[in-house]
Amino acid sequence: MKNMQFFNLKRFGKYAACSLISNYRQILLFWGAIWFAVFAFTLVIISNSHSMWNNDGWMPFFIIVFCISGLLYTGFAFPSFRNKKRTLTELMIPVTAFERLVYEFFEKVVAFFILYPPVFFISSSLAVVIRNTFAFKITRAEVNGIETFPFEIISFDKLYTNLEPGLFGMFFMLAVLGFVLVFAGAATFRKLPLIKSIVVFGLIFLAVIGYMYMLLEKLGLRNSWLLILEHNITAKQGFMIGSLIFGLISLTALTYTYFKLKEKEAS
Amino acid sequence: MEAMIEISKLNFKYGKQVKLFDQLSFTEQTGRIVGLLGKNGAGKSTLLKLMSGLLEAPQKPITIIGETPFDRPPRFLEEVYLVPEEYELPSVKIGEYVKAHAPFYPSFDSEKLHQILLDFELNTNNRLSKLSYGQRKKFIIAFALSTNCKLLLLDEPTNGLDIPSKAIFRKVVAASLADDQLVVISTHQVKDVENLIDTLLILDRGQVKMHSPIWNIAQKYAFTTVSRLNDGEVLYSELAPGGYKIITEDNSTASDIDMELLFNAVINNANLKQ
Repeated sequence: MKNMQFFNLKRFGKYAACSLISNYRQILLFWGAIWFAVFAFTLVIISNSHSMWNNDGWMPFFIIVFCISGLLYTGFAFPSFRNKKRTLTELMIPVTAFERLVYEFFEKVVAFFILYPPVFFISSSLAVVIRNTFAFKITRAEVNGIETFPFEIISFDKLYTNLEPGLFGMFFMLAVLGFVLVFAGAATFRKLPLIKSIVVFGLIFLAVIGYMYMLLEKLGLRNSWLLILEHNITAKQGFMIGSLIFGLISLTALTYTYFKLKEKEAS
Repeated sequence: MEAMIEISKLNFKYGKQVKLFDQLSFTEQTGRIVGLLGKNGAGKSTLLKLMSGLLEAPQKPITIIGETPFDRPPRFLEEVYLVPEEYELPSVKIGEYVKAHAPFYPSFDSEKLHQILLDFELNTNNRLSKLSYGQRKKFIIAFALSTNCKLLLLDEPTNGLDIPSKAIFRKVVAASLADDQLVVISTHQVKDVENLIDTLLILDRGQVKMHSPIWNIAQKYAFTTVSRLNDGEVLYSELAPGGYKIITEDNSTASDIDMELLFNAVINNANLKQ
């Protein structure tokens, strides 16, 4: 019975339906904006470029849009907590803080990780097809005196194959960490959650870096455990340790988010 | 009868401000409509928020339906509905809102909602964001009554309602309540709920100044208007057109209660026994 009060699948389903009915317009608007932004930027980039998009040249663009749009989307998690009146209504909905957390995490982080690649693929591919058609039909394969060529439709295979084993996993966990930190910020700050999260976690990051620098460089601890670690583990093991650390920090941040939700008041 | 609300020695203040409640205590049972009265800033809305678990009370002095409100377990939230004075509703149609929120309440009565919406002249195709403040208020009151929650907390429910709607409000509240329910109506517009409430709870300076059934007050006191004051009998008087409105001790006949006069008498520390 206690567990039923903590997480109940039926109640979670009701809450998901309730949130989607209340917020579907904002969600559609966001994904429409992402789709259009990727399409428009792709078109602009490849209409002025003759080599960048081929092979894995699209990857920096993919990652930049992923980071910016993802952090913007996640930064607006818990939209009801942006103002007092909606906070009050939201907190009276009969769900647990854990159910609220799980739903919001799925909608704002997991769904973004799943939906972003196909949305990017579809909109950028459409831009590539339009550009190729336009270049060949109108300019007869020549733009400003330079011979044009068909751009490749992007392929996600290169995400894995061009990277060292374990590195992709570590980058993935780093991305998860970034999103989770902003997610935690959205549960904590009422106004400007994204900016405040970036500032606060940026300061914490700088403090950690400064502390590590002091330990390793100023106090000369580099010659002890770090040196032993450097010489006794492979790159793959190092990436795995990195993934583990990022995962643990993410879990800690999610636990913090849970308690922020549980203690939320509508004053 | 089992107490639905139990508050024992509640102390509460916002941050470093002065105490809003100082050792405030009272209990309340089911089957009643309680009028929660107090001056502006007396803490009526805060008390409703504390009772619904929207604010945390130190030392857990509040028990509602056997639960500590701030724990906010779903079984508690399924039985407590708060209509706040100010709220924001999503930009969806009334029907969509009901479809999204009604499943959370096990005793939700769709037919009752339909009937109250008809009484208030609201259509389920109306979009909530297009409604006026008063219409939105009517909708949220209709929804609250239809949940059949055991405890309904209404904060200034008649604010923004036009005169016919206030009459309909009184009618639907009185008609739609069951014996196992309790309604607490917070208001400073005492006239609006005068003929609706059966228990009076007056807050002042962090304390309960009066907590009494209406019939008890009606039996003990007489509320009349006189042209001249006679010293000795009058417990409280106010200048009024044509003379004075007075409260006297009268055990012989039950009289209609002048709620405003009573409220002023309590706030001004008139010597009224409960």
